Amino acid sequence: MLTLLRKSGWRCHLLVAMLGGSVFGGSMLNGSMPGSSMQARADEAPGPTRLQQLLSGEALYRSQLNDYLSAIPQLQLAHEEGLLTDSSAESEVLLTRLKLGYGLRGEADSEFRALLDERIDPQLRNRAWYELARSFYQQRNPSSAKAVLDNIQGSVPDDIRGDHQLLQSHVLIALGQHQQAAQALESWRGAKSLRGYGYYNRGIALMLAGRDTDALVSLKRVVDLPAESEELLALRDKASVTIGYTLARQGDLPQARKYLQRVRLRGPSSNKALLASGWIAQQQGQTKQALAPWMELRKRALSDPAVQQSLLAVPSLYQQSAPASAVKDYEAAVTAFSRELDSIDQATASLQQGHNLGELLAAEPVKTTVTAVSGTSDSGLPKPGLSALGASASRLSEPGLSEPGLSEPTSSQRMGSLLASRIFQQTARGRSDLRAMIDNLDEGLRSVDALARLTRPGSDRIADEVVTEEYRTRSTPGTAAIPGASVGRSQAVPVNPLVGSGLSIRNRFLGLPTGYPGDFPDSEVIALPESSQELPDSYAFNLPGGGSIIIPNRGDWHRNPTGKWRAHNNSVPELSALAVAPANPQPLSQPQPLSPSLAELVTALSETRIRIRRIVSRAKLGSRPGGQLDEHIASLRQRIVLLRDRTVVAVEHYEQHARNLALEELQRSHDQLQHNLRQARLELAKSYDSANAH
Amino acid sequence: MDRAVSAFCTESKPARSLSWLRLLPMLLLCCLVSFFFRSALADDAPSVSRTDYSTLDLQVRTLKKEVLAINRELRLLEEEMLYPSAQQLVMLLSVLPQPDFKLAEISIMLDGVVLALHRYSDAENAALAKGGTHRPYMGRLKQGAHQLTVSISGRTAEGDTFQRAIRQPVDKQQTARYIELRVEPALFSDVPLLNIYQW
Repeated sequence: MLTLLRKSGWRCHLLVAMLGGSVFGGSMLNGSMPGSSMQARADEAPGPTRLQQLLSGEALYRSQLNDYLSAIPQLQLAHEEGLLTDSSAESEVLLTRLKLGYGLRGEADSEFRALLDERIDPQLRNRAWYELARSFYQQRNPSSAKAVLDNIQGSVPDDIRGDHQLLQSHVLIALGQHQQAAQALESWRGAKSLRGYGYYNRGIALMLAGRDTDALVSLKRVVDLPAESEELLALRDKASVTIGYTLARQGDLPQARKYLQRVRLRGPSSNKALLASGWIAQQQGQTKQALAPWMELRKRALSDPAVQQSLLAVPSLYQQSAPASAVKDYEAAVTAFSRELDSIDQATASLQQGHNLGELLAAEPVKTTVTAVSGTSDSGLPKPGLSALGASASRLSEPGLSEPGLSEPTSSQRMGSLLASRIFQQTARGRSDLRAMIDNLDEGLRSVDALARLTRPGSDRIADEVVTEEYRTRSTPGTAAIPGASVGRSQAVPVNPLVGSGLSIRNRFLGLPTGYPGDFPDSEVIALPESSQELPDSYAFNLPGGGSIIIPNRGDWHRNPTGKWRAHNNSVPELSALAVAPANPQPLSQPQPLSPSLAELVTALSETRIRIRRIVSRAKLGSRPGGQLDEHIASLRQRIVLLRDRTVVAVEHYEQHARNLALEELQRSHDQLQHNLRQARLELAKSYDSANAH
Repeated sequence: MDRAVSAFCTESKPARSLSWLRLLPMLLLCCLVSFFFRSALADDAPSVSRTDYSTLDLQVRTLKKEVLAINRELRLLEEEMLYPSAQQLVMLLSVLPQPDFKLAEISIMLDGVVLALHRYSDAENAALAKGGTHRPYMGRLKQGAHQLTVSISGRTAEGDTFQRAIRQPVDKQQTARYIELRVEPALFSDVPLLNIYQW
């Protein structure tokens, strides 16, 4: 029996529920599956309650697909129409969570404060507070985030327990409360897959609190964790580098070097590890061992300050013994720095003249390297550690014999840290999303104009054009011909802020050593995979009570859009779309990542356009709008025009902002390079002197 | 000593003496650590751009509110014009918890007319699993008796494909009719049940 039950799996839950046990207690949004309790109560709920659950579930469904602009008005109207009376407090919390997901933090904050009292289930309350705090933190407002986090009392839902701990530590570190941040992570309560981030963040917090010994213990736990994914391998590398630097600072050079050699040669932390390995070997008096990592390093893209340092470090090793070779290498460094400075100055001038960053990046020739060595540091696959360089040390130990092998960075590499920064990515995507929004607004305006023309006699031809275009533009397989159906598969959907942690995976650990994770790449946006399952041409269903039906799949639908189904048009309206379903659906476009902050706007405008056209379509069918609608249309048009103007201004601001960010980054690179150039010239002068003395 | 310090950290006049090289290793390490922390501190420095971004974010939030308001009005307009409550017919699909269950497609026919055909993506399946309700159809229906036929196909937790269909009469009155299409686990089978409820 037990085996049977175990095999039955989910059916056991049902059995328990049927026997009267409440498997899913608590509120509608409780637990990792927010609607699970709602579903479990489906059988028990009386009609009106069940209907409320369904309507709330619909808003939840839309929000899960990031369609906040449909979800929010739908829930608002359901409230206003009195359809959500029984569980009004919970549905209001849901509405506020939707607003928060949509990015209206200010409104959500005040509404949560009014709503989240003892009427609300504690777990739902804590989840809502957590989401609000996360939203504030992501907008670089740690003080507000901290104030919101302080509202969390009692247990946090299991699925966000680890994220809650990480968020607490991020916020406290950002506020300079390092000791408290370490305490927040003292015992890890989240998922196993996230514990590496917990250990790492605790290590950083302890280090910032001045407790290096404890910090090392925590960081070593990260290094000892099994890691297979690239994210965890990168985290392990980062921990190894941190340990190496800390031990070096403490004077334990052999141990420091040991940890640095564990870093993967092609990982994102490899440049720092190579540089430090060389310095430590040099300090230990092992010149040849110092040369190997530095020679490897100087083949890489010059935009990295560690690579620039290696150009100065290598000739310093033989400045005394082989000054002529040192002169040659210093000359090469001066040339490389000068050339790079020129490139940066050109890029700066281009931006100052008003060119966009996109144009600058596009104008840059494909990466040219002086040598054939590919020196990028993020190949993505696990590679041998730095210790592998030891084998080639003798080969690389002849000073001055090998070519410097400098790699000229492209603009993309030069501004790599800028391009990878979260703020820049938000800006760049925001700009492109706003442009898409303007297109949608233009479309919306055309539709409104068509609607306005429809109110005048003799306008059927215009309506035909509009309606036909509507279904051509919005058609995706399976949904094009279905009025009221939601957008179908293959849509690029950003990750829902209400789901899971919402924190970027990279944001789960902290930068070194400041701990403020402001500039990690944004990985919150993903494109969802499509189901590749091919369906048969038709389905035959046996109906209960005898008989069967055959329902063709979408392929047949498109091949026979005007078949017998339309003969029944009188019985059910809204089939006009069938007549205009495309015979050959366009290939699905590749999913494009969109900014979470603006993607909804683009979707919303698209949705708005569809709504207007649907109304146009209806008007064409004979239900002419009356005078009230005229006013509505006129006011709507005016609002869309105003919105468009403001969007254009916002695009300009976004572009200017992206330019400013790029200029700041270029200025930083410029200063760094200028400093190194001065240094190289100085050392070159010294080497000339040494050579002359010899 | 001063010259030695300057070897990598600061600029100084060229010197003929090479005595500074003896102290080089220790100083290099100092430089390394300072380099490391300097670059980190640079990241932490407050940036004017970040403040600018807050302004932009505020601007976008205002735009969002406006779009939200427009969308709300359109929805109202749409409901009034297209789906007056006396004729309104709404179909809502819900899925009760079933591990690893995937809904592939739904077809809805009313009086022999195909009303809706929808294929579910992974994201939509995830939304359903989290308690979401999908509205595969919203339209108008004349008062009286009608025949509703709904069929679904999908994949069970064991990876087997399945198909289910159900036919049920629908009596449309003078008020809006909500029909729930509920996919729920069967007690002694891996294939879920499809039931129709009218609210």
